[in-house]
Amino acid sequence: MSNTQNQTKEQKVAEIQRHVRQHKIIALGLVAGTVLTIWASKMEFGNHSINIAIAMVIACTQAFLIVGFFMNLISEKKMIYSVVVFAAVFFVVQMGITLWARSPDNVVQMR
Amino acid sequence: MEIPYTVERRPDTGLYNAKIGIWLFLASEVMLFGALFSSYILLRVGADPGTWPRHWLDWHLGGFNTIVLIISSVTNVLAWASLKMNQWEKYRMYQGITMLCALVFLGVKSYEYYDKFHHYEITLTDGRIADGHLQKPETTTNTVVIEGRFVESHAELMDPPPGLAHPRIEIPRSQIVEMRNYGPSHNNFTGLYFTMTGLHVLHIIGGLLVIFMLWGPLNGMWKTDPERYTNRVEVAGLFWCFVDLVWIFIFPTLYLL
Amino acid sequence: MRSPQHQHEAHARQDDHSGHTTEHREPGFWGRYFFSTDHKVVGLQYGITALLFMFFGFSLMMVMRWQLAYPGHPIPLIGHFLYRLLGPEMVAKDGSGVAGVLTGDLYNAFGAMHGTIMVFLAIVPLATGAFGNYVMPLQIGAPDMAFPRLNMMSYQFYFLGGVIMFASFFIPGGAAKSGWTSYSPLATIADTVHHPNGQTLWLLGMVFLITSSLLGSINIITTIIQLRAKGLTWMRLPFFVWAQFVTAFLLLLAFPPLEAAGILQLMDNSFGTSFFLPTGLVVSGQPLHIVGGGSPLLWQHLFWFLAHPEVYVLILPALGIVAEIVANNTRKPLWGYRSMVYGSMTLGFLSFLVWAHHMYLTGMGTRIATFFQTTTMMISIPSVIILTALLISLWGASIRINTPMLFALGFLPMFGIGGLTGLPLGFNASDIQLHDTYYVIGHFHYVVAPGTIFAIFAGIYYWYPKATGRMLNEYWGRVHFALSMIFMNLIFMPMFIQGLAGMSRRMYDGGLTYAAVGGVVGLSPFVLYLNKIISHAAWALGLAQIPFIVNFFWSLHHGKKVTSDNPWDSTTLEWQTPTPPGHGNFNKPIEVFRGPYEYSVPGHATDFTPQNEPDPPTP
Repeated sequence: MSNTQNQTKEQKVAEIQRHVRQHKIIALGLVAGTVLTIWASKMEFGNHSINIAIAMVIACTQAFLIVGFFMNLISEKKMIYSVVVFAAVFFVVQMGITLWARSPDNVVQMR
Repeated sequence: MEIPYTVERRPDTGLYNAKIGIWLFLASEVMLFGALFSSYILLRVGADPGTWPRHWLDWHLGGFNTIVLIISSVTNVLAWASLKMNQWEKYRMYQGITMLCALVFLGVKSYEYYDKFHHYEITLTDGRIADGHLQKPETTTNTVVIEGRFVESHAELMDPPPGLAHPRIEIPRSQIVEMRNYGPSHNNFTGLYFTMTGLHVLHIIGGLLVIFMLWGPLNGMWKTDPERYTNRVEVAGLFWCFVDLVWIFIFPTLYLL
Repeated sequence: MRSPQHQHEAHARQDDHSGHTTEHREPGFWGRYFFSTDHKVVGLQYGITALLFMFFGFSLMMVMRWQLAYPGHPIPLIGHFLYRLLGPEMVAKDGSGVAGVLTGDLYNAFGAMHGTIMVFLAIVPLATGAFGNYVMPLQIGAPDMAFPRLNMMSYQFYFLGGVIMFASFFIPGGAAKSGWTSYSPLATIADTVHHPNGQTLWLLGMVFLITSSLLGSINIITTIIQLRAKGLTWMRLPFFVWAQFVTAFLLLLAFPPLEAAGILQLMDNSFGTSFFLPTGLVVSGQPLHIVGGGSPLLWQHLFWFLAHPEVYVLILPALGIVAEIVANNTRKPLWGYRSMVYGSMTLGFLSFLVWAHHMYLTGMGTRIATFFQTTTMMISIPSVIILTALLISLWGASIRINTPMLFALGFLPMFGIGGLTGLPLGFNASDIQLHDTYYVIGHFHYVVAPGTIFAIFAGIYYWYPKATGRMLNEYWGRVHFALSMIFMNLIFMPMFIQGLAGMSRRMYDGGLTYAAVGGVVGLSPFVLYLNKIISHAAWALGLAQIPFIVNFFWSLHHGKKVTSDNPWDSTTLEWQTPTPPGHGNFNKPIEVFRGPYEYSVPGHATDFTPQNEPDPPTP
C-alpha cells in the first residue's frame, strides 16, 4: 500500500477498494493461467522440454502475480525485497549447481 | 514491558516486526521446497530411460485443487482488506470461505492419497503384471479382486494411455509373486509425490489452524487492539499465499509434465 | 544468581501499549526458569544445556581415544559400566573375558554422535543461542528480542531435539553410526534390523534442532533490524552484533535443504523409498529389496549445502566475541572495522558457493572441481582480512592481560593454523591425498576447538560478571587457559602428521589394521605411537577443564563481587545495564552518540567513552 499517512479515511478506503478490484481480476488471471497450463500440457511439440518451458513460464507468471500483488511485494519496503532476492539467488545456486554437477561433462566417466 | 514496533512501524525501515519475521520465514521455506524441487529434477533427469512414470496423477483433481487454492488466496486477501476498512462481518465471511476452501483441498487430497494406497501393481508367477484398484469387500484370503487390467508392456505401465477399460479381475493369491501399492515406496516418483504434497499438506493444516484461531478463539484482540489484530491477519495471509504459491509449482511439475 | 525477572525497576515504569498498566503476576518457579520469555533467561538456558552437551560429547571422544591408543584393551574404570549399560552387542570382551572393549559399531556410534553433539548441540547453541540471545539485545540497547515467546519456543525445540539425540543411545541398535555426515546408503543400511533405529532418531532430532535454529535466526535478524536503540546506526554496531547478523542469515537459508534431505532420508529409512539408494545395491552378498533409482550424491549435495555455511556459523560468532575482547583489552578501536564488517558479509555470501569442496573425490569432472576450487580460494580472502584486522588491532596497544584476553589472544594463532591447513584441502589436487584422513580432523578441530571453543571460554570469562555480579577467579582462569592451550596443540598437531602419512578417519582400531608390518607398506610405528600421545593429551585436556568447572560454580557465590556495572571499562551498551540486567534491561531509554570502540580518544579524560554517553568526558 502506498503512503497512507497523509490520506483521509475516505481516501484510504477508496484506495483499498481499488486494490480489492485489482485482486479479484488477478485471481481470474490466475485461474486462466491454470487452465492454460493444462491445455498446453496436452500439446505435442516433439521435444518435451518445450512443454516444461511453457509450464514454468506460466507458473512463474502466476507466482509473480501472487507474490507481487497478493503478498504486496511490489510495494513493499527495500528490506523485505532484499530478503526475497537473497533467497531467490541461493535457491537458484543450490538447484543450478547441483544439477550442473551431474551433467556428463562434470562426471568422471567410467571406462 | 512492551517490545517496540510490534504494531507501529519503525521510521527507518517502515516495517513492523512481524512483517520482517514472516518474510524471513518464507525465505527459509523457499529454500526448503526449493531443495525438494531440486531433488525431483535431479532424480527425474537421472532416471534410466523408461523408468520415470507420467500421467499417474489425475489432472482433473489437481486442477480443481489449484483453482480452490487460488480462490482461498484471494478471499484471504479480501478478508484482510475488509479488516483494513473496518468491515468485521465481511472479514468473517471471506475468511470463512478461505477456510472452507482449505478443507475442500484437504478432502480432495485425502481422496487422492486413499486412491493411491488402494491401487496395486501385482506381479504374477507367469510374468504378467496386473494393475488396478483393490476391491476390498470381495477380496478373500485366497483371491485378490481388482478393477484394472493386465499390462501389455512396461512402457504402458509407466505412461498409461487415457480411457483404458477396467474390468473386474480375480487373481488367486497363489499366483501372486509381489503386490505393491502406489504408496511412497512404489518408486521415486510416488515417493516424491507423497513427500512434496505431504509436506505441503502439513503447511495447509498449519496455516488453516492459525487462520482459524485468529478468526475464532483469539478474535477478542479486534476489540482491544484492532491494528495489531489486523497485522496478525496480514502475516497469516502472507503465509497462506505462499502455500498457494508452492502448489502453483507442484501442480504442473507432478501432475502435468 | 538472582533471576532477572526479580528485578522490577526496569519493568514497573513501562505502560501497556493500550494505555493501562497490565497486572504483573509474579511467575512461579516454572514460569521463571523454564517458561521464561526473557532473552537473558533463554540465553542462560541455552548456555547451560549446551555446556552439558559439550561435556557429554567430549566424554564420548575420551572413550574413543582409549580405543585408538590401546585397541582391543578394555576401557579402565568405565568399561564394565558401559558393558552393563549398553549390552554385549555394543561392548565386547577382550581375550581374557574382561568386558569393556568398544565394538566397531559402538565406536562408530560414538564418533557420529560426538560430531553431531559438538556441532549441533554444543557449539552452535552456545555461539548463537547463548551468547547471541544474552548479549546481542543488550548491545543494541533493546528491552528484549523482537519475538520473546518465539525465543522461548526455540529453546524448547532445541532441548527436545537434544533429548531425542541423547535417547538414541539407549534404544535397541544404539545411536546413529554413519558419521555426523550420515551419508546414504550407509545411513539406511547400517541397521536394517531395528525400526525405528538410532538413525531415525538422529533424523527426528535434526528436524527439531533445525526448527529451533530457524525460529532463533528469524528472531535475531528481526531484532537487529528493528530494535536498535536511537542513534545506533548500522556502522556503529559492535562487530559481535554484525557477526550474529550474518550467522543468522546463514542458518536461515542454509538449513532448509538439509531439512528436506533429512525428510527424504527418513522416508528411505522408514517408508521404503529409495531417494538416495541406487539400483543394484548389494548388502552382505544379498541384493537389497528396494526399488532403487536413487542418488547417493544427492544426499551429499544437500548435506554439504548446509554443512559448509555451518562451519562459518561455527566461526563467525567466535570472531565476534574475540573482536569485543580485543578492542576492550587493547584500549584501542578495532583496526579495519569496516573491512571486518564487509568481510563478514562477503564471507557469508561466498559460503553458499563452496560446498562441493567436501566432495572432490566423488568422481567430479575437472570443470566443476575448478569452479569449487576457485570459490574456495576466494573465500579465504575475507577470512584472512578479518583475522589480519584483529592481529593489526594488537599493534601499538598496551595490552591488558586477563583471562578473557588470554583466550582471545590464543584464539588468533590457533584459528590461523586451522585456516591455513584448510588450503591444501581446498585444492582438488592435494585433497586427493588428504581427503578423509586425520589431516582433515586436525584442520577442522584447530578451527573449532582451540578456535571457537577458546572464544567461547573467553566470552564466558568476559560476560560472567555481567550475568552474575561476580568475577571468575583470575588465577584459576589462567591455569585453565595455559593447560588447555598446551593440550589442544598436543592433541591436534600430531594429527597432521598422521594424515599426511595416510591414516584414514573413522578407524576404530587406530589404524592398526594398516600398520606397516613384515615388509607390507603401511602406517609406521611412529604414526601409530602418536595415537597414544594424542589420547593422553585428550584426557589431560579433560582434567584441565576441572578448574574451569569448579571456578564456574564456586564463583557464583564466592567470586569477587564487581564494584561497578562496567568492570572491564567497556564502551559497548551491555555494560550500561544494572548487574544483572532486569526485565527490560535498561533503566532509561538508550540513545547512542558514537561508535562502539571509542577507546583512548585523544583529548578525552577517560580512556573509554560509552556509546550512550552524550558528551565526551572533558579533562
